[in-house]
Amino acid sequence: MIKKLRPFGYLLPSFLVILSVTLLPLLYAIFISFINLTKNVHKLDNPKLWDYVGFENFAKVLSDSSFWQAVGRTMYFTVTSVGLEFALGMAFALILNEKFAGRGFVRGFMLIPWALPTIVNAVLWKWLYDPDHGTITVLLATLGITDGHFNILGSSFSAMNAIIIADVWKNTAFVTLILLAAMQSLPAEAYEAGKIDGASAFRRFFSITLPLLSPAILVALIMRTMEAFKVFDIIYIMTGGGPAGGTQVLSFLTYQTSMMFGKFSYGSSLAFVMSIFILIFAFIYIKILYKKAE
Amino acid sequence: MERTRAQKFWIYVGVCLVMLFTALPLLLLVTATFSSSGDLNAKTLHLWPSEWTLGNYSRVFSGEASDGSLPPFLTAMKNSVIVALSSTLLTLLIGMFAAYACARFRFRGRDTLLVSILGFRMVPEVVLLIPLYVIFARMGMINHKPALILIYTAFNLPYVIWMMQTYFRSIPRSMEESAQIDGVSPLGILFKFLLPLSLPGLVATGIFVLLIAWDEFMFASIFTSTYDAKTITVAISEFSKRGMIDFGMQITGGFLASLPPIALALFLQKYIISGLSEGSEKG
Repeated sequence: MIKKLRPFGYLLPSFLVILSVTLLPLLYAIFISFINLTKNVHKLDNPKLWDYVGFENFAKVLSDSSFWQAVGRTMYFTVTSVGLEFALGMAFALILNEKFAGRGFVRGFMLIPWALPTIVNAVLWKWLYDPDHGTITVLLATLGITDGHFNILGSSFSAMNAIIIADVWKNTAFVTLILLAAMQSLPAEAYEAGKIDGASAFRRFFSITLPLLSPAILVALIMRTMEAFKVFDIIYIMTGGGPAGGTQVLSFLTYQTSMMFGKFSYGSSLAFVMSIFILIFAFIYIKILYKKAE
Repeated sequence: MERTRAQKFWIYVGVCLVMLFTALPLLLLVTATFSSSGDLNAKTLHLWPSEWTLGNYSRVFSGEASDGSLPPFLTAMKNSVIVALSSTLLTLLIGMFAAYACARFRFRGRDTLLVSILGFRMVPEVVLLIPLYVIFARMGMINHKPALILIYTAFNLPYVIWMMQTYFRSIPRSMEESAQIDGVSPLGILFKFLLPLSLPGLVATGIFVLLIAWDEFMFASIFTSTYDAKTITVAISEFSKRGMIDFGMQITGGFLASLPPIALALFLQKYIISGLSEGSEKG
């Protein structure tokens, strides 16, 4: 009997932590999104069962145009930044997989942007884009690319793409890291066979390297996609969702609605609707991992 | 694979591009920390400081936090070290036992449990922000370090359990089996065999969790309000001078706060690479 209970004893501490800090709060969040809970400046209202409003909050979210605009912006941010990170990460991994002098150093050095805290990266790029003194702003004006100092973070389109560049600079190294690790475990024979067949470097890449790397590619893509979809810190620092809501993404909208405006219930519903998107990515991710574990 | 001369040339061109991509923003970061406010506020191009100064550093290390002992920057660094280290050690300690249970014991519902553990990892943190805020505010735990430690532990636990159980599973059972016959207890097997053999994996997982905790901002910004608990990411976001953001202080504090994670990432680069590939191949 004791023998049978032993694994549950080992699981107990983890179970208690996940139960109290994830599972129960999750159920509580569902409850909050079905009532009407707001935070005043001085006091937190008591959540009460009789404040039940049904699906009202969810209906409000789905009919809210600022929600759908945030979905669009989040999608744009995710697709563009992950796409660029993948293209650059793949190119970097292919280069760093070759033999060259100082390879160990370059492999280490290229990791530094990824190790920078997101907040620090955001502070750095916000300054580079500063409308008066930013190095990039001044450089663009000096080279005559922009007519005088252009406020990059001052218009929606350029602000969003500027944030994407900052994100790509930091996170490309992560994709490189995963792809490089996978490339190192590729069988050399496959390449040699391709070479003997006289396949060109291009064909070898697309018909040998790419298919063999596909598990690692999927892992890298999905991990980055889920992270990018939750983008928050860099927006908070660089634009605060502005200009005029032009970089308002889902995480930031949820944070602002609940923590700055105190609309807990509406914010909670927003968070759940956002989770549906994440769950779709998560479902694909678990499927892939599970298939490989078998 | 042997490369021709022309191929080697293009490889070096590629390496230079990788280096430039990485180095240029980093160079601007480092030189900015040594620039005077005159240079930082110039409206003309300054790729190099006209005078090197330690003014930013002296501002970062000056002043007193609300508790009056250390400058705000050092207080926040201290808080971050306490929060990140405690939550990492706590996560590894309790996650290790759960991983052991999943890797070496058969029990009903084990596979379902593993998938749901991974599922918890996928819950977007922002969903938990509101309920956790309400709960901790009622318990009077806002602005106390244990609240953040507990939250980070819960968030990283699924990852640690999942990674540790893949490491444990990759260790052949033969040695433990003979030890078992000799009467070594299950805990003895965990501490004498599995943990020493999976040490690189344990270290890599620990570093990963530490980096995540050090980097966290959203919860820290809500769950801390004074320097009793404020972590370094929150402190950097708030550095200001007479109500205006002080960029010199932000970038210098940020540079200093980046040194520990950079050192860890470089020092354990090999562990991370093998750890990640384990995760992507066996996970």
